[in-house]
Amino acid sequence: MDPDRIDFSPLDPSRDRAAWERMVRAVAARGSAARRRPSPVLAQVVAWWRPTIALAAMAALLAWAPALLHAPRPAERSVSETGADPVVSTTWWALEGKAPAAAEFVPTMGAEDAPR
Amino acid sequence: MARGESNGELVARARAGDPGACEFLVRRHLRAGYAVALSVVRDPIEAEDVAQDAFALAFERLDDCREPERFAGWLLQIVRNQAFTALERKRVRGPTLDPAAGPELGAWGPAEHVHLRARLLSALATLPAVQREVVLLHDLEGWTHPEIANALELSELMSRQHLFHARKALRSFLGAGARLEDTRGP
Repeated sequence: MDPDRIDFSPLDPSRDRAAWERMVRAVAARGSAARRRPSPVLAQVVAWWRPTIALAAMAALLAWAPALLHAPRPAERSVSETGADPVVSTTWWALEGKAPAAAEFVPTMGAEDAPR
Repeated sequence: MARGESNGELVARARAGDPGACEFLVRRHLRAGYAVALSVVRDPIEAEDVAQDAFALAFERLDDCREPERFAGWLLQIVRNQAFTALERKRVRGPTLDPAAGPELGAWGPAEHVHLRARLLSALATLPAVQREVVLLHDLEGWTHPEIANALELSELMSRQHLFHARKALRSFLGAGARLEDTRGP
């Protein structure tokens, strides 16, 4: 024991053993929690993943929209464009009572395949 | 066994997420952290808060501790920075009561210690910062001169000199106070 030692015991927080023990455990728990927290880079990735996914989805939609708008609708296609069977096309014209246009009739009847 | 483990081994285990290692590091160094915080803020309650916050920050930044064997010195530097930040915050908030007369002094410990505590804090306030750290680490925390020299990056000789001068100044201040009280006595 050093006889010259200054007695700082009134300033010693560990004099109250129970309070000191609580403090040690609280600090250790905070420290362990801090260690469990993800690294700053990973935390940023986790924090931003939802907005990033939303932005990516929006960008994909914007890129896809023009193609969707300009694609021909099936109803607008003529019988010839669908490449239908001549029997089916003729039946359909008969049922509808509709006279086919020459541009539809000729390819449907196979004129394009005729030898030139 | 954690008690016999070096700081380096405990830091490695704490980095790996071992809560037991965190607790041993706290048990080993919290009082020293408190002593350094007290030497700066000169308020026991605030020193406790500073030491706790500094530990939480140190664990958060444990991967930045490049020399785990010198964990104590690295931690005490964080404590010192936190303590100066707390002082600055206090200064910005505006003047408060002298810590030696503040109501927080009675927040822990028996009532008869309040007066002694106030006198010790007033005496410590007369010392240069480095002497306050050395005398608190040596006489309150029980560190040896090699430990103090290593943590504060001083030579052992300087540590002994600081302790000698600090004790002399404190005895002079406390002795003068005691003599003054004797003359006021019944």
